[in-house]
Amino acid sequence: MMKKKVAVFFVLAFMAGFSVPGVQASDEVKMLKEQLEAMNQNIQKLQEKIIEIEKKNAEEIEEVEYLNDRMDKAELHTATDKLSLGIELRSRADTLHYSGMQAAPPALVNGFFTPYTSGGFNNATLTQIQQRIQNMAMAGMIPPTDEFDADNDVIFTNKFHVNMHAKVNDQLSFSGRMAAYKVFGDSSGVKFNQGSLGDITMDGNTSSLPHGDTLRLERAYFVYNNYWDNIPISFSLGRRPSTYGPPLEYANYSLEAGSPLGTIINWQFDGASLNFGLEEVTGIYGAALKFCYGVGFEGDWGNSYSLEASQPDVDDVHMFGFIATLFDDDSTSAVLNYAHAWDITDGFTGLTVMPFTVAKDPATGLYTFEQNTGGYISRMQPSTDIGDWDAASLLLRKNLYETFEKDIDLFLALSWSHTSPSQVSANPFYEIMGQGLLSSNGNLEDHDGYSLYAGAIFPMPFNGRLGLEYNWGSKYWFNFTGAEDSLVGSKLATRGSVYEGYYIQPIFGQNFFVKLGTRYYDYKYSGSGNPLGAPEEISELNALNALFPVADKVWDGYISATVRF
Amino acid sequence: MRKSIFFMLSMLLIVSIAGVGMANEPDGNDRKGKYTYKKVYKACAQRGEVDSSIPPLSPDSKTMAQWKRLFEKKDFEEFLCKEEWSQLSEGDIADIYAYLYKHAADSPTPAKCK
Repeated sequence: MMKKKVAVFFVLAFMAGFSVPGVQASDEVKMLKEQLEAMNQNIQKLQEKIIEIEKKNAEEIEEVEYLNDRMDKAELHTATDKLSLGIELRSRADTLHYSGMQAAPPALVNGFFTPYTSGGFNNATLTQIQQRIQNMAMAGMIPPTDEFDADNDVIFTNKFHVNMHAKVNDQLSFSGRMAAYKVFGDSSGVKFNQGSLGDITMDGNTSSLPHGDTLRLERAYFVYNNYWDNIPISFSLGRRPSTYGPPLEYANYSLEAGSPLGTIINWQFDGASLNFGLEEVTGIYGAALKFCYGVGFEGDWGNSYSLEASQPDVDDVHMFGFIATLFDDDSTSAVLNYAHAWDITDGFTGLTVMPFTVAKDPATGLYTFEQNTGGYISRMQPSTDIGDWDAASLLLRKNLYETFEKDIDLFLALSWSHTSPSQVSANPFYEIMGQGLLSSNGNLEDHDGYSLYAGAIFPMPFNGRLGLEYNWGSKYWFNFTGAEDSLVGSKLATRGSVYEGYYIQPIFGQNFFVKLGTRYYDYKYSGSGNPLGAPEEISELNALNALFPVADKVWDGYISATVRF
Repeated sequence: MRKSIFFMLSMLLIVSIAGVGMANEPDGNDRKGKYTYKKVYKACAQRGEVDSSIPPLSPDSKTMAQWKRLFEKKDFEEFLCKEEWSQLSEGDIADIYAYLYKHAADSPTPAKCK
């Protein structure tokens, strides 16, 4: 009983402890309630946020899945396409002015269509024709040339390149280029023959000179890289990057676009190369040695010769050469290029419109001449191996940035050519003139030719570039630069002098630039760039030397816009 | 003829004036950048850090956008040769950037280091 009382007392006392200050207890309860409510609200907000995050997360997961899906497609696309493409498009306007052109007068040309019995050359044998020419020469009856000027005030062209590249792996790569080059409003692809190799649509120039709107294969080759005892080696096979070589990159506002020096070879062909990087073993900056091989003409089945015994006996034209980089530290460089071609032919297979045709009857030996009044297209083909050709070129380049802090480029190329004729051409036209490799009248003699090419490129405001170039070629100078991008003819094949100045203005970096330039040809000898016939001094030409028109001085002004990406 | 040439010249002049300076390219000197870049790796190779004096990254190793990002972040780890890179001035780096950018894989003139 006593214990009960004590317990009741303590409970009452304990309750009294809380209830005695009644106001204070209710405040605390209220505060607790408020805290609970705040907590509830926070929890509610947190729950909302969690829901929101979960929703967002779900959206992001969906987005990632979507991106993954797209990336997979892109990866698959990249992995299977394997080829990256680039485009270059140049639109250009040229104004061409020929002065002092020389051509045989109609009185002489008509003699080829006049029967032999009436005093002409038609239906005569080789001996009769040559005898009559000799008699005319002795009697002073070969007339002088007619002189005239010719102008093409403006001619527009579009040049289009599709560049291809693929890196298969670190050791194997592929490069190629498809090209179309056309004159505005013309897609014939065949030109009238004025006596230049550039007037014939042939394997060596199809993509490099205007030939209509056909897309053609200019380059396609693979490169295999490896090491041979610490020497980097690369082997390449296919249609070669043999056009627009050094030092033409300055005027093209590009990097080096070809292997052989543009001074001796600017010509499309198929072949192979083997390159040795010698910098590490020699300690000479940039030292390298590249051997090159090419076939300029296929003499059998590939060129649609018949398999009959009467087909011309023409060998394949093989070419071999080397390119030795003697030094190249990006500021200064010296490169030596040598090439030799065996059994050059008296032309290359191609199409052209001849002013007249010459035919020889194998049974009677009679020559007939016929005017091409209908503008019919002729298929040209070689008939004779006319000899061998050698050429060498040394190119020296210097950039003055490190010396003078001025981004000025200078270059100088000295070149030599040697021709060894083997026989007179069996082509009826060349045969009556006794023409062979740089020779006429049957005089088969070796000749050396020389050339000089110099240029300077200066920086101008707004990243512009001003280029000044000069080149000169001697009487017997001959190179294979028929693919040079020029409507007049290869300036680097000129026997005489050519002056050129140009201004390149980038508009959107290297993606878009314009070029304004002028080029002046001052020919001294006939037949520049043509392997057939002895060069004759322009001032001493007679009508027989000018059955095709011969240019004396040509001025070409041009302006172009180029887009590359 | 004169009309055609006058028309062409006028067009090109207008395009040139409107377009010059629009290119969003790096300001550095790409020519100088090329020399500096090669110099870095010659020194680095002589020091023995890398086997070859040919830079490990050629301009065509990356796209223009990738070079831009790399130089904006100044993350030069991939280039190796930290010692040489740390000694380069801001100007030198800008020149190297200009060289790599202008010859990137997707540029009009992609290039390899020789």
